[in-house]
Amino acid sequence: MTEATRARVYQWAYRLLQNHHDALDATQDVLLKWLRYAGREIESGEAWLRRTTVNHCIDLIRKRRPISMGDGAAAWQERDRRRVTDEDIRDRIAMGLSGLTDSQRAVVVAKVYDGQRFTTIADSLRVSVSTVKTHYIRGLRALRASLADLGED
Amino acid sequence: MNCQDIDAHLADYLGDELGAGERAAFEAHLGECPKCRAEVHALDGTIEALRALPGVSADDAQRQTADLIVMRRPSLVRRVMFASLRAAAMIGLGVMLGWATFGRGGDSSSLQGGGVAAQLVVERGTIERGLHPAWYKRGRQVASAPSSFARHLAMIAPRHDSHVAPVSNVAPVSNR
Repeated sequence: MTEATRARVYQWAYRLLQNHHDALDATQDVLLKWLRYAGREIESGEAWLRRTTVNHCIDLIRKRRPISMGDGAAAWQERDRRRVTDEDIRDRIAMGLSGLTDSQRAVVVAKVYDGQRFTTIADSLRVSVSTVKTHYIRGLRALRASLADLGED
Repeated sequence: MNCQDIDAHLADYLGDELGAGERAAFEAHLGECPKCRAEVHALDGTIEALRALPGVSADDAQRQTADLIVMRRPSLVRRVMFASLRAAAMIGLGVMLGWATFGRGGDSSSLQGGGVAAQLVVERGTIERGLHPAWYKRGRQVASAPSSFARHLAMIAPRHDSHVAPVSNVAPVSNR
Protein backbone atom coordinates (compact mmCIF):
# COMPACT_ATOMS: atom_id res chain seq x y z
CA MET A 1 0.00 0.00 0.00
CA THR A 2 1.82 3.09 -1.19
CA GLU A 3 1.25 6.64 0.03
CA ALA A 4 0.29 7.62 -3.49
CA THR A 5 -2.49 5.00 -3.55
CA ARG A 6 -3.96 6.28 -0.30
CA ALA A 7 -3.75 9.83 -1.59
CA ARG A 8 -5.51 8.88 -4.84
CA VAL A 9 -8.40 7.27 -2.95
CA TYR A 10 -8.64 10.33 -0.70
CA GLN A 11 -8.70 12.64 -3.73
CA TRP A 12 -11.64 10.77 -5.29
CA ALA A 13 -13.50 10.62 -1.97
CA TYR A 14 -12.92 14.31 -1.24
CA ARG A 15 -14.12 15.30 -4.70
CA LEU A 16 -17.45 13.58 -4.13
CA LEU A 17 -17.93 14.18 -0.39
CA GLN A 18 -16.44 17.72 -0.16
CA ASN A 19 -15.49 17.11 3.47
CA HIS A 20 -12.15 16.09 4.97
CA HIS A 21 -13.43 13.84 7.76
CA ASP A 22 -15.92 11.99 5.57
CA ALA A 23 -13.26 11.59 2.87
CA LEU A 24 -10.79 10.18 5.39
CA ASP A 25 -13.40 7.72 6.71
CA ALA A 26 -14.24 6.68 3.17
CA THR A 27 -10.53 6.22 2.39
CA GLN A 28 -10.14 3.87 5.36
CA ASP A 29 -13.21 1.88 4.39
CA VAL A 30 -12.14 1.53 0.76
CA LEU A 31 -8.58 0.52 1.65
CA LEU A 32 -9.91 -2.17 4.02
CA LYS A 33 -12.05 -3.50 1.19
CA TRP A 34 -8.96 -3.38 -1.00
CA LEU A 35 -7.02 -5.56 1.46
CA ARG A 36 -9.83 -8.12 1.43
CA TYR A 37 -10.80 -8.20 -2.21
CA ALA A 38 -7.81 -7.05 -4.23
CA GLY A 39 -6.69 -9.40 -6.95
CA ARG A 40 -10.06 -11.03 -7.49
CA GLU A 41 -11.26 -8.48 -10.04
CA ILE A 42 -10.90 -8.40 -13.80
CA GLU A 43 -9.98 -4.72 -14.01
CA SER A 44 -6.69 -3.17 -12.87
CA GLY A 45 -6.02 -2.13 -9.29
CA GLU A 46 -6.51 1.58 -9.95
CA ALA A 47 -9.77 0.99 -11.81
CA TRP A 48 -11.02 -1.19 -8.94
CA LEU A 49 -10.09 1.43 -6.34
CA ARG A 50 -11.69 4.25 -8.33
CA ARG A 51 -14.91 2.33 -8.91
CA THR A 52 -15.14 1.17 -5.29
CA THR A 53 -14.41 4.66 -3.92
CA VAL A 54 -17.00 6.36 -6.12
CA ASN A 55 -19.65 3.75 -5.33
CA HIS A 56 -18.87 3.93 -1.60
CA CYS A 57 -19.15 7.74 -1.59
CA ILE A 58 -22.43 7.66 -3.47
CA ASP A 59 -23.78 5.24 -0.86
CA LEU A 60 -22.65 7.60 1.91
CA ILE A 61 -24.36 10.60 0.30
CA ARG A 62 -27.53 8.57 -0.18
CA LYS A 63 -27.62 7.86 3.53
CA ARG A 64 -27.30 11.62 4.06
CA ARG A 65 -25.89 11.87 7.54
CA PRO A 66 -27.37 15.13 8.85
CA ILE A 67 -24.34 16.28 10.90
CA SER A 68 -20.77 15.68 9.94
CA MET A 69 -18.39 14.65 12.70
CA GLY A 70 -15.94 17.30 13.80
CA ASP A 71 -18.24 20.32 13.71
CA GLY A 72 -20.12 21.85 16.56
CA ALA A 73 -23.87 22.35 16.05
CA ALA A 74 -23.58 26.13 15.76
CA ALA A 75 -20.71 25.89 13.28
CA TRP A 76 -22.69 23.38 11.26
CA GLN A 77 -25.75 25.63 11.08
CA GLU A 78 -23.61 28.56 10.00
CA ARG A 79 -21.93 26.48 7.34
CA ASP A 80 -25.26 25.08 6.26
CA ARG A 81 -26.52 28.59 5.53
CA ARG A 82 -23.35 29.57 3.69
CA ARG A 83 -22.74 26.41 1.69
CA VAL A 84 -26.20 25.27 0.79
CA THR A 85 -25.39 25.63 -2.89
CA ASP A 86 -22.22 23.53 -2.64
CA GLU A 87 -24.09 20.79 -0.79
CA ASP A 88 -26.82 20.90 -3.37
CA ILE A 89 -24.34 20.59 -6.24
CA ARG A 90 -22.56 17.71 -4.49
CA ASP A 91 -25.79 15.81 -3.91
CA ARG A 92 -27.07 16.42 -7.42
CA ILE A 93 -23.83 15.22 -8.96
CA ALA A 94 -23.76 12.15 -6.72
CA MET A 95 -27.35 11.33 -7.63
CA GLY A 96 -26.59 11.90 -11.30
CA LEU A 97 -23.57 9.60 -11.14
CA SER A 98 -25.57 6.97 -9.26
CA GLY A 99 -27.98 6.84 -12.20
CA LEU A 100 -25.20 5.69 -14.58
CA THR A 101 -24.09 2.14 -15.19
CA ASP A 102 -20.92 1.03 -13.39
CA SER A 103 -18.88 1.26 -16.61
CA GLN A 104 -20.21 4.68 -17.59
CA ARG A 105 -19.50 6.03 -14.11
CA ALA A 106 -15.96 4.60 -14.13
CA VAL A 107 -15.17 6.21 -17.50
CA VAL A 108 -16.74 9.60 -16.69
CA VAL A 109 -14.88 9.89 -13.36
CA ALA A 110 -11.56 8.77 -14.86
CA LYS A 111 -11.90 11.24 -17.74
CA VAL A 112 -13.46 14.28 -16.07
CA TYR A 113 -11.81 14.15 -12.63
CA ASP A 114 -8.54 12.36 -13.38
CA GLY A 115 -8.04 13.67 -16.92
CA GLN A 116 -6.93 10.25 -18.16
CA ARG A 117 -6.67 9.49 -21.87
CA PHE A 118 -9.16 7.09 -23.43
CA THR A 119 -6.41 4.56 -24.16
CA THR A 120 -5.31 4.53 -20.49
CA ILE A 121 -8.90 4.05 -19.30
CA ALA A 122 -9.39 1.25 -21.84
CA ASP A 123 -6.26 -0.51 -20.56
CA SER A 124 -7.28 -0.24 -16.92
CA LEU A 125 -10.84 -1.45 -17.57
CA ARG A 126 -9.63 -4.13 -20.04
CA VAL A 127 -12.05 -3.02 -22.77
CA SER A 128 -11.58 -1.45 -26.21
CA VAL A 129 -11.05 2.29 -26.73
CA SER A 130 -14.26 2.57 -28.77
CA THR A 131 -16.21 0.98 -25.88
CA VAL A 132 -14.73 3.55 -23.50
CA LYS A 133 -15.74 6.40 -25.82
CA THR A 134 -19.27 5.01 -26.08
CA HIS A 135 -19.52 4.78 -22.27
CA TYR A 136 -18.26 8.35 -21.99
CA ILE A 137 -20.80 9.87 -24.36
CA ARG A 138 -23.70 7.80 -23.03
CA GLY A 139 -22.72 8.65 -19.46
CA LEU A 140 -22.56 12.38 -20.24
CA ARG A 141 -25.92 12.27 -22.02
CA ALA A 142 -27.50 10.50 -19.03
CA LEU A 143 -26.00 13.07 -16.67
CA ARG A 144 -27.14 15.98 -18.81
CA ALA A 145 -30.77 15.65 -17.74
CA SER A 146 -30.06 15.55 -14.02
CA LEU A 147 -27.46 18.32 -14.06
CA ALA A 148 -28.90 20.56 -16.78
CA ASP A 149 -29.89 23.45 -14.51
CA LEU A 150 -26.57 23.32 -12.61
CA GLY A 151 -24.64 23.81 -15.81
CA GLU A 152 -26.59 26.98 -16.57
CA ASP A 153 -25.59 28.67 -13.29
CA MET B 1 -17.16 17.16 -41.56
CA ASN B 2 -20.86 16.31 -41.54
CA CYS B 3 -23.20 15.49 -38.62
CA GLN B 4 -22.19 11.80 -38.69
CA ASP B 5 -18.49 12.75 -38.42
CA ILE B 6 -19.33 14.98 -35.47
CA ASP B 7 -20.99 12.05 -33.72
CA ALA B 8 -17.95 9.85 -34.42
CA HIS B 9 -15.50 12.45 -33.05
CA LEU B 10 -17.66 13.73 -30.20
CA ALA B 11 -15.88 11.80 -27.43
CA ASP B 12 -12.44 12.86 -28.66
CA TYR B 13 -13.54 16.51 -28.91
CA LEU B 14 -15.11 16.60 -25.44
CA GLY B 15 -12.20 14.60 -24.01
CA ASP B 16 -9.72 17.05 -25.54
CA GLU B 17 -8.02 14.33 -27.58
CA LEU B 18 -8.67 15.67 -31.09
CA GLY B 19 -5.73 16.78 -33.26
CA ALA B 20 -5.50 20.45 -34.24
CA GLY B 21 -6.63 19.86 -37.83
CA GLU B 22 -9.63 17.72 -36.90
CA ARG B 23 -10.53 20.12 -34.13
CA ALA B 24 -10.68 23.03 -36.58
CA ALA B 25 -12.89 21.01 -38.94
CA PHE B 26 -15.09 19.94 -36.03
CA GLU B 27 -15.59 23.52 -34.85
CA ALA B 28 -16.19 24.72 -38.40
CA HIS B 29 -19.13 22.32 -38.64
CA LEU B 30 -20.44 23.51 -35.25
CA GLY B 31 -20.45 27.04 -36.67
CA GLU B 32 -22.76 25.90 -39.45
CA CYS B 33 -25.00 23.33 -37.70
CA PRO B 34 -27.20 24.54 -34.80
CA LYS B 35 -28.25 20.96 -33.94
CA CYS B 36 -24.70 19.72 -33.44
CA ARG B 37 -23.75 22.97 -31.69
CA ALA B 38 -26.57 22.56 -29.17
CA GLU B 39 -25.59 18.94 -28.48
CA VAL B 40 -21.90 19.75 -27.93
CA HIS B 41 -22.75 22.80 -25.84
CA ALA B 42 -25.04 20.75 -23.58
CA LEU B 43 -22.47 18.01 -23.01
CA ASP B 44 -19.75 20.61 -22.41
CA GLY B 45 -21.99 22.19 -19.78
CA THR B 46 -22.42 18.79 -18.14
CA ILE B 47 -18.64 18.36 -17.87
CA GLU B 48 -18.36 21.87 -16.39
CA ALA B 49 -21.06 21.04 -13.84
CA LEU B 50 -19.15 17.90 -12.82
CA ARG B 51 -16.01 19.98 -12.41
CA ALA B 52 -17.87 22.40 -10.14
CA LEU B 53 -16.89 20.15 -7.23
CA PRO B 54 -13.49 21.32 -6.03
CA GLY B 55 -10.81 18.68 -5.46
CA VAL B 56 -7.57 18.53 -3.50
CA SER B 57 -4.04 18.42 -4.89
CA ALA B 58 -1.98 15.23 -4.71
CA ASP B 59 0.35 16.87 -2.16
CA ASP B 60 -2.53 17.88 0.09
CA ALA B 61 -4.06 14.42 -0.22
CA GLN B 62 -0.75 12.81 0.80
CA ARG B 63 -0.49 15.13 3.78
CA GLN B 64 -4.05 14.40 4.90
CA THR B 65 -3.63 10.63 4.65
CA ALA B 66 -0.07 10.48 6.05
CA ASP B 67 -1.24 9.21 9.46
CA LEU B 68 -3.64 6.66 8.05
CA ILE B 69 -2.56 3.11 8.84
CA VAL B 70 -4.64 0.32 7.37
CA MET B 71 -4.03 -3.16 8.72
CA ARG B 72 -5.31 -6.48 7.58
CA ARG B 73 -7.78 -8.02 10.04
CA PRO B 74 -6.57 -11.34 11.50
CA SER B 75 -8.10 -14.36 9.79
CA LEU B 76 -11.12 -16.12 11.34
CA VAL B 77 -8.98 -19.12 12.32
CA ARG B 78 -6.50 -16.88 14.18
CA ARG B 79 -9.29 -14.93 15.90
CA VAL B 80 -11.01 -18.16 17.08
CA MET B 81 -7.67 -19.58 18.20
CA PHE B 82 -6.77 -16.49 20.26
CA ALA B 83 -10.29 -16.28 21.75
CA SER B 84 -10.08 -19.95 22.82
CA LEU B 85 -6.65 -19.45 24.35
CA ARG B 86 -7.90 -16.39 26.24
CA ALA B 87 -10.93 -18.27 27.59
CA ALA B 88 -8.81 -21.25 28.62
CA ALA B 89 -6.35 -18.96 30.39
CA MET B 90 -9.17 -17.21 32.26
CA ILE B 91 -10.73 -20.49 33.41
CA GLY B 92 -7.33 -21.77 34.48
CA LEU B 93 -6.68 -18.56 36.41
CA GLY B 94 -10.12 -18.80 38.02
CA VAL B 95 -9.54 -22.37 39.15
CA MET B 96 -6.15 -21.42 40.63
CA LEU B 97 -7.65 -18.40 42.43
CA GLY B 98 -10.50 -20.54 43.78
CA TRP B 99 -8.03 -23.15 44.94
CA ALA B 100 -5.98 -20.48 46.73
CA THR B 101 -9.03 -18.70 48.19
CA PHE B 102 -11.18 -21.59 49.38
CA GLY B 103 -8.45 -23.86 50.64
CA ARG B 104 -6.61 -26.88 49.42
CA GLY B 105 -8.62 -29.50 51.34
CA GLY B 106 -10.04 -32.56 49.71
CA ASP B 107 -13.74 -31.72 50.39
CA SER B 108 -16.21 -30.90 47.60
CA SER B 109 -16.73 -27.21 48.61
CA SER B 110 -13.23 -26.24 47.43
CA LEU B 111 -13.91 -27.51 43.92
CA GLN B 112 -17.23 -25.67 43.92
CA GLY B 113 -15.44 -22.49 45.08
CA GLY B 114 -12.91 -22.81 42.25
CA GLY B 115 -15.74 -23.14 39.76
CA VAL B 116 -17.46 -19.98 41.02
CA ALA B 117 -14.21 -17.98 40.86
CA ALA B 118 -13.53 -19.23 37.32
CA GLN B 119 -17.03 -18.20 36.30
CA LEU B 120 -16.53 -14.73 37.81
CA VAL B 121 -13.26 -14.22 35.93
CA VAL B 122 -14.78 -15.35 32.64
CA GLU B 123 -17.82 -13.12 33.15
CA ARG B 124 -15.59 -10.14 33.95
CA GLY B 125 -13.69 -10.65 30.70
CA THR B 126 -16.95 -10.91 28.76
CA ILE B 127 -18.34 -7.74 30.32
CA GLU B 128 -15.14 -5.82 29.64
CA ARG B 129 -15.32 -6.69 25.98
CA GLY B 130 -19.05 -6.09 25.88
CA LEU B 131 -18.59 -2.54 27.10
CA HIS B 132 -16.51 -1.59 24.07
CA PRO B 133 -17.73 -3.68 21.14
CA ALA B 134 -17.11 -0.95 18.56
CA TRP B 135 -13.66 -0.17 19.88
CA TYR B 136 -12.82 -3.83 20.18
CA LYS B 137 -13.85 -4.58 16.61
CA ARG B 138 -12.46 -1.41 15.02
CA GLY B 139 -9.19 -1.60 16.92
CA ARG B 140 -8.50 -4.86 15.19
CA GLN B 141 -9.23 -3.47 11.76
CA VAL B 142 -7.89 0.07 11.62
CA ALA B 143 -5.44 2.02 13.65
CA SER B 144 -5.00 5.71 12.91
CA ALA B 145 -3.81 7.09 16.22
CA PRO B 146 -2.81 10.68 15.46
CA SER B 147 -5.62 11.51 13.05
CA SER B 148 -8.18 9.71 15.21
CA PHE B 149 -6.99 11.68 18.22
CA ALA B 150 -7.18 14.95 16.34
CA ARG B 151 -10.69 14.15 15.16
CA HIS B 152 -11.95 13.29 18.60
CA LEU B 153 -10.33 16.45 19.95
CA ALA B 154 -12.11 18.45 17.26
CA MET B 155 -15.43 16.94 18.36
CA ILE B 156 -15.13 18.15 21.94
CA ALA B 157 -13.06 21.34 21.58
CA PRO B 158 -14.64 24.49 20.08
CA ARG B 159 -13.20 25.58 16.73
CA HIS B 160 -11.68 29.03 16.48
CA ASP B 161 -13.74 29.92 13.45
CA SER B 162 -17.00 28.46 14.71
CA HIS B 163 -19.97 30.71 15.26
CA VAL B 164 -20.71 30.76 18.99
CA ALA B 165 -24.05 32.05 20.26
CA PRO B 166 -23.73 35.17 22.45
CA VAL B 167 -23.77 34.37 26.13
CA SER B 168 -25.33 37.67 27.23
CA ASN B 169 -28.81 36.11 27.41
CA VAL B 170 -27.60 33.42 29.76
CA ALA B 171 -28.08 34.15 33.45
CA PRO B 172 -24.74 34.48 35.24
CA VAL B 173 -23.95 31.57 37.49
CA SER B 174 -22.82 32.46 41.00
CA ASN B 175 -19.95 30.70 42.62
CA ARG B 176 -22.22 29.23 45.23
